[in-house]
Amino acid sequence: MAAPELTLEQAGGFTLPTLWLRAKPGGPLVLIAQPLFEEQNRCRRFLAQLGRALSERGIATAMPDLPAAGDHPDLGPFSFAQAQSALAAFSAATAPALTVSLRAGALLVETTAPHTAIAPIERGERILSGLLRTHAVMEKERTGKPFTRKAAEAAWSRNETLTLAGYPITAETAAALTRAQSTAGTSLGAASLSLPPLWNQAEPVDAAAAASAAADAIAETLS
Amino acid sequence: MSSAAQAHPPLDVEETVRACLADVLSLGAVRVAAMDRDTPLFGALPELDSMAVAGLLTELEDRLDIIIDDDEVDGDIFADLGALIDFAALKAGG
Repeated sequence: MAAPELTLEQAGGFTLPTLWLRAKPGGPLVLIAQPLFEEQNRCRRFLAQLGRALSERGIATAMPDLPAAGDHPDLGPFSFAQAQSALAAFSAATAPALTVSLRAGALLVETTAPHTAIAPIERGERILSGLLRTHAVMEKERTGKPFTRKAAEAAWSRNETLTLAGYPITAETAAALTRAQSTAGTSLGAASLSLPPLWNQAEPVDAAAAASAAADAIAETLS
Repeated sequence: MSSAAQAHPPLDVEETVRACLADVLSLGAVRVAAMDRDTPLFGALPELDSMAVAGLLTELEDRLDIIIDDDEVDGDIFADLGALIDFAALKAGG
């Protein structure tokens, strides 16, 4: 199996650090849309295992880090709209046979793209409420006072940026997440893959078997 | 909450709560199977810190298809396994 290669890809004015796993010449390319915020870190090993499993089935993968996420040099704050544009530009430049998303990655994929979503977050509101909840729990512990959704919305209405669970969330991105919905063609639920909830785990477990099951389903879609 | 719901939460809700605890806290199925309704959770399980509470609630929402308003969440629902199961059953309409 080929070793992973890290390149800087230029697409639509964006420069995206991209991890490639090449497979057989002329084989299909899958574009990976990663989860957002802390879930990206927690799912990183699973996506490496998925890329490897796809490569063993003759399918190449490209996994870009979108602006202000992962290894991307833009330090942020993260912009949901910009991440969507960068993914679309990358897709236009590389013409993948399929985009495979994980969790909130599903929200970034263009509706017209062939798309398989693994354990998708179908509404962006879910990821926003998860960030707010984590922040509220930590604030309660730190200050003894509750932090409410209302307080967050008031800050965003003043165009302030709130740091939630370590991630700066602008008013614009909060609004975009509230509106975002995924429209995946095919959805592979966590239960169907026996995929543990890596994105909610304090200590992620090995999920190589689930990566292999997902690779089988993706290979079937492409065959 | 009706007393009937408290006395007999649906088995699938209880199983889902146990599975969420096992998966989110990486406790392992054997440890969770050994718990009963009186087993204390918050303060007794070192794995269940404040960050894990947020993850656990989110996972319960996903698996039971419920929305948990953060105003409803206080320490009481994590007091013991029975309290968490009853809370989840109430939210799931059980």
